[in-house]
Amino acid sequence: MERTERQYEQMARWLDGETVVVSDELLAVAEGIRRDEQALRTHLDVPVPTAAMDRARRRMSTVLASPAARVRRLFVAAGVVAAAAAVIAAVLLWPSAPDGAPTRTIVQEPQPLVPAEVVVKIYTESATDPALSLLASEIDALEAEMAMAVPQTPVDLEIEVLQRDIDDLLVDETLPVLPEDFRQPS
Amino acid sequence: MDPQRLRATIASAQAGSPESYQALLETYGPRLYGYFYRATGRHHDAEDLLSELTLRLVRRLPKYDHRGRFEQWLFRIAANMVRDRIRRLKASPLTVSMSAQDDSGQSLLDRMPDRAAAMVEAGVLAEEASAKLNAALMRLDETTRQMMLLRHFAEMSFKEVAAIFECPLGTVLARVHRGLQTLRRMMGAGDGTD
Repeated sequence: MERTERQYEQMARWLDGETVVVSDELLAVAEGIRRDEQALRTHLDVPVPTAAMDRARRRMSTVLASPAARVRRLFVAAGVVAAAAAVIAAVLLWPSAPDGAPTRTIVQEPQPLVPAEVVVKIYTESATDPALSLLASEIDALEAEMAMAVPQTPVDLEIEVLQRDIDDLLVDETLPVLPEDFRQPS
Repeated sequence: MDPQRLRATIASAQAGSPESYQALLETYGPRLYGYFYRATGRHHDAEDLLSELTLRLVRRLPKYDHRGRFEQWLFRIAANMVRDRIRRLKASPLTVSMSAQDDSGQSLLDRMPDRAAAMVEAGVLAEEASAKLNAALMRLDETTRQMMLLRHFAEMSFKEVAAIFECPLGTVLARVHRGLQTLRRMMGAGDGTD
């Protein structure tokens, strides 16, 4: 039997614990929905694999301990975003020429796309600086858009798996120890 | 975590305490993993998303204004991540059948010692039940699935779900109701509402 939007709203408010008057018929429906939800909940939970939590813990430790490393990874992984951030940072952080000053085109040595100190400044000071906070948010949004814009092929997925492995290697920040057999004799 | 302790932990994390961040991860990590798994249907993606969420938590928590709705804030971030991930999923998950026979006529189960095989078979059955629920959830439209999962894992009210999805309150319940009926049919349960 079809219910109206209004009837569903009444039942939703009742289920949320609000004081609303519902008919006996709607009350029966709402109680049935509650039972179904409770039955579903007994099956939804899944144990989290130890490896998944360990990986999340390691990732968090690394992020908290090494913000420069985190920023470097973001820079490498999102070259286009970093280039856009450089343009925005240049506009926001460097003073413009005074009005009326003559403009000249000067040929300069190529500069790094994003000086490291600028990127560090963006992410470490964004909590207190509204402009940098906006910039950090824009970088987040651009990253998400980039991730969604490119359709993934099987090769893309393989690259993603490799990138994850690389990230994990960087997170671990350990180097494999050469077994004795492979050490060169002195 | 009780509200007072949560407030103190959040404040400590915002002040830069790594231990407090880890405490938040320990408290919410299992539920977040469960949500990611049920939302994407894949352990691989759930693990990736949980790891990625730690980065977002560290980045965004300093700007979070605690008004007693931390879980809802956290799961809103998680829901956006799921939405982005689902849009990128193109390939089906790779699965290995324990019972399928190879060219020699033997399956993986046949080649395992009996006791190990029994344990694996029990685990496989449990996993198959969970996989059946996953398959049923994946048959729902994404919005309905997300609404149902957020109701459970994020403990959101219908009102809060309506705010996230920017739709009328009655619409949320109508979708959840139909989703529950669909799941019941697919899982082969008995009589239910309406």
